[in-house]
Amino acid sequence: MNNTKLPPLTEATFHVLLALSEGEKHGYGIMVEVATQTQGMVNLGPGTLYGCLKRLLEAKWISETEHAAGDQDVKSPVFEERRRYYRLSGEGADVLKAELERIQAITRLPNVQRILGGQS
Amino acid sequence: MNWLAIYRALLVLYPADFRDRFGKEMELVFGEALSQAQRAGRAPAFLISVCTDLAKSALREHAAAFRAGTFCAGLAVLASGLLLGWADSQGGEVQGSVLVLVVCCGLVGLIWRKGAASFAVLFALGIPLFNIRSGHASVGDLLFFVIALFAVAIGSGVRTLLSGPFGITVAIAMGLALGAIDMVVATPVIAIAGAFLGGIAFGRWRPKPLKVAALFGFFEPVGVIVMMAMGMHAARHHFVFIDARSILIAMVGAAIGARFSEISGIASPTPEAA
Repeated sequence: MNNTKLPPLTEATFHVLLALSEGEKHGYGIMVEVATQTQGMVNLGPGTLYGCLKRLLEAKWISETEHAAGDQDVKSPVFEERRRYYRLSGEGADVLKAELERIQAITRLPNVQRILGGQS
Repeated sequence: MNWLAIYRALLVLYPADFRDRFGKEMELVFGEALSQAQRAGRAPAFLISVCTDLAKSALREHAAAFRAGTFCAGLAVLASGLLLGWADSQGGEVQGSVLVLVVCCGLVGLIWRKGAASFAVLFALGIPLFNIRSGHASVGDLLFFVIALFAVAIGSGVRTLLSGPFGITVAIAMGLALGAIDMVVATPVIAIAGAFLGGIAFGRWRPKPLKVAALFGFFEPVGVIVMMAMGMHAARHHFVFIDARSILIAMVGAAIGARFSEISGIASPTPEAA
């Protein structure tokens, strides 16, 4: 698969993939991680989050797992029944890498360097 | 106020497949995020953002569900929505239009998992389209969209309820209700269409869809008999003929509807029933 030919990812997709790059997480964990990594600039609602997860699952960029080892919440029967964990697949990692390289290439453009330099 | 219960109820706005798969997780995430927002003293802002997110994402998921449908399903939605809209607009009376809209969209919401909202929008679109053509369009026609989606949401909610242990009871009750309607309108078309639609709706309860559909079909004429016994039947002297025939029509219609439901897959079984 040539990921360089993929269109740019949506903001939600990019941040969800990035959040999962650090290991498997459940829905709320992803939501918190996205808010943290964007310093509160991006707050995904449950609808947007699960819509995004659905599409990522269909594209096989992420996969579901039973539960994360060591998660204290899993001890609760309610959580055991409902909670699903998600992790980045190999293909998803490739897509994320391609997207990061695309962004990195943009930041190397002279006019972008000039703008960033001017801001600093 | 129990925000979790309200959010749970609002999940009916999402397509049924999406809700079945992610609804419980979404409730869980909402509950956790709400607790966190309450601790941080920003619950109102969180609730507003959730409402906005819900409206946008529900529309997006309905659009995705429509795109995911087969070509034939899409064509059927388009044709039936516009046809019914046209037929409805020919009535000329607003009350009649709303009634037809609510009944049709409610039934479609009840039986069709993937295409119900699309059907409702197209159906509602059919009315102003043909009103424009006949020179009777008004801004009020826009209300049809809201009514149609509302009816679909109710139908979809009822469908969720029916997938529980009350299914057979509701099948009987609907059969009786249809019999009462049949008594009022006195038309075999109602019995045939109702039994067929009922068969589709009840056909999804595996492993014995035909038995449930047959119950529905059997109780439709029983509804006529009950209403007649109460002195409300419009055609008393036709009782024997009409109801002997109705039993047969309703049961065959329901059985065909149930079988149609099985082979077409338009009403796939719920996770509970599968």
